[in-house]
Amino acid sequence: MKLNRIVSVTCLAAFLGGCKTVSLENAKPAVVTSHSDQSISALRAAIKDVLNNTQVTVAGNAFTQSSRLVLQRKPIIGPDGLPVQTRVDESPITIKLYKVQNKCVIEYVQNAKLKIVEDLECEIKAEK
Amino acid sequence: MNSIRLAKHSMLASTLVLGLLACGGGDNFGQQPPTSNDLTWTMGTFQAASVYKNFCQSPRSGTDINGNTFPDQQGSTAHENFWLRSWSNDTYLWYDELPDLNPNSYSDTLTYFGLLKTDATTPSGNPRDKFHFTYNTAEYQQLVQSGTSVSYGIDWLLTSSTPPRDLYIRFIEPGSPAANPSLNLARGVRVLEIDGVNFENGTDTATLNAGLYPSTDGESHTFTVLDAGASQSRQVTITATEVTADPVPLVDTYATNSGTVGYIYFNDHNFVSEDRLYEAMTQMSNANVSDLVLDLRYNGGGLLYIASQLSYMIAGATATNNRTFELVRFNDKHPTTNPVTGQAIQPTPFYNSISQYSDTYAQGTPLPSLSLNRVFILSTAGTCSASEAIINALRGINIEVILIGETTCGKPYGFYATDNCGTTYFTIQFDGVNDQGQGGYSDGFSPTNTPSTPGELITGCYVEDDITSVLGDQADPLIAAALNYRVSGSCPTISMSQRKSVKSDIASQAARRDKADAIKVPVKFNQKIYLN
Repeated sequence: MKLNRIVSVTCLAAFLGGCKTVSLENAKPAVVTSHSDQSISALRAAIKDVLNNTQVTVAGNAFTQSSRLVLQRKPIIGPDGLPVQTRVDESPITIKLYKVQNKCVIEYVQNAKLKIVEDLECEIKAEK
Repeated sequence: MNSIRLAKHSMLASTLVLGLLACGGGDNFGQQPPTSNDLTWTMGTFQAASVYKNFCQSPRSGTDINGNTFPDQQGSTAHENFWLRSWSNDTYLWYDELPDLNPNSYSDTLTYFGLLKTDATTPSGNPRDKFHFTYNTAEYQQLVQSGTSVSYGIDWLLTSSTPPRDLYIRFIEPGSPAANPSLNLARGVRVLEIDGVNFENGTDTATLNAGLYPSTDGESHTFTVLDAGASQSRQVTITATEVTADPVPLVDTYATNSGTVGYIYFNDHNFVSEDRLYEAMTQMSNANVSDLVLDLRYNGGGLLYIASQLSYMIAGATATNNRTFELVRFNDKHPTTNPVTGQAIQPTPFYNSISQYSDTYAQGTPLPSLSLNRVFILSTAGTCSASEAIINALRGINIEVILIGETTCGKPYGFYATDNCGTTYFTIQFDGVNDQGQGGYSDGFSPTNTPSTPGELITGCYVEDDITSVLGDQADPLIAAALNYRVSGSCPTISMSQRKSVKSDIASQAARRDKADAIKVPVKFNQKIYLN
């Protein structure tokens, strides 16, 4: 994956002390080293934020095995008791975790939206 | 190599992202509103659906998942009804069987949509279109990490959503809250009450739904249950949490005098299942199994590319090379082009490699294969859609499918969930056929000796599912019948009571579907099944 984009991360005031530019040129795919209640809460809030406050359920082990998180529609069952989405060929929404310098950054891949996740510890993971 | 590029090869070339984007982006901002002529009904005359799209009685404000402003503009119920009429006329699979109803005569859009479906019935007498739904778009767009949900880890068997109801535990996810030994819950446990409300006939459906489908991590509910074989009920309190379900929780091999038989219990065609199926089939290959029992009894479907991969791993390269897993057919207005994506209609192949969505294996990694000439598939009415596509695809390349169990659900159809004005509509737009052009199994697939045969007959044995049996155990009636048929070619005897119960089940299913169709409010997202 080419990570040569220069992406502006706007108004991460609390973390960066103002608007800054983050370069992903040297970003590496990463996994979470260990989750705490605080880190998983921070991660869930960050994911919800890059998805413009869309309701999303994220497991407590997110990003511990893989640098990628695959999101799909919440399964729903119709009034006949059978699943509604039974013949699906939609690509998922993908969130990736990177280590950029000493920061953990998530990317909503389909629109390249980035967010630094505070209170999260991550480490570089070699890609498959 | 048939690599998977969903957006390129897929029947549904739109992505989830694009689907979500379709709600925003302002694709008709600045568009001239429909004229009074456009809003005058003339029987048999249809404007393009785009004329009416996004003109809403109650336009949404705010932004979508990508921050784009919703495209809604001020319109009326008539605008929305005219859109439904034109859209259905263009894309509904059986558009020529639709009534042409005056959109101006209906003050409720959902009521109008409910009428825009065929009244045709299947050979067994069931409605041909059993899959006509609406959802609130905001609810439909909620997301989950693949395989994850807030739940107890219980897979319920609900025999009816309307009184008299009956509810059983049919599977407990290992490691989930329900698997806590202190609760002593098991497959076959019957639920009598939820938070003090009688489940069979209770009218407080809000309490029942809330208890049945918790939405919040840490939410607790009290169930009065009856253990299998017990006469005294007991109470258990279960606390929901985020559960990541294993879509392939049971993989085993059975040593027999005539070779090793593999067993795979496959529960959900989701993204997580790709790696698990790869590992299960590798295990089968390493064990050199001579037959495979694929347990799809509760697999309601999901991602078609997973079904294609699994079919490949059963049949192998020689049988699947240059063959079609499935080809979709739209109505006769769209013989060559997908009317939703605008792309040329192309067959889905048997995918023989790992997709880009695997967390463990590199994209393009060859899949293992068993190259079997036959496969035993275990089924019930919960075996649906993508699971049925496996059955249909394999018979299409002359791999013998031996069906053990009950008639499958009968869903060879599909749709593109389409938003307009904050409501997402599901209307049947295509069906799928196999390499030999076979499809249309709207009554499901039935084992050949099914006492009453509403479905398309497949070689095999009718066997009723025993909700108290241990899944994966050779004593489970479906597994036992498969293993017996494998060596003897014979099926268990069907009793007269079973013959009656089959007819009764079919009748009650039809009745339930009629009742379900009468429900005009959208199914509430977090409640899953609408109880009333």
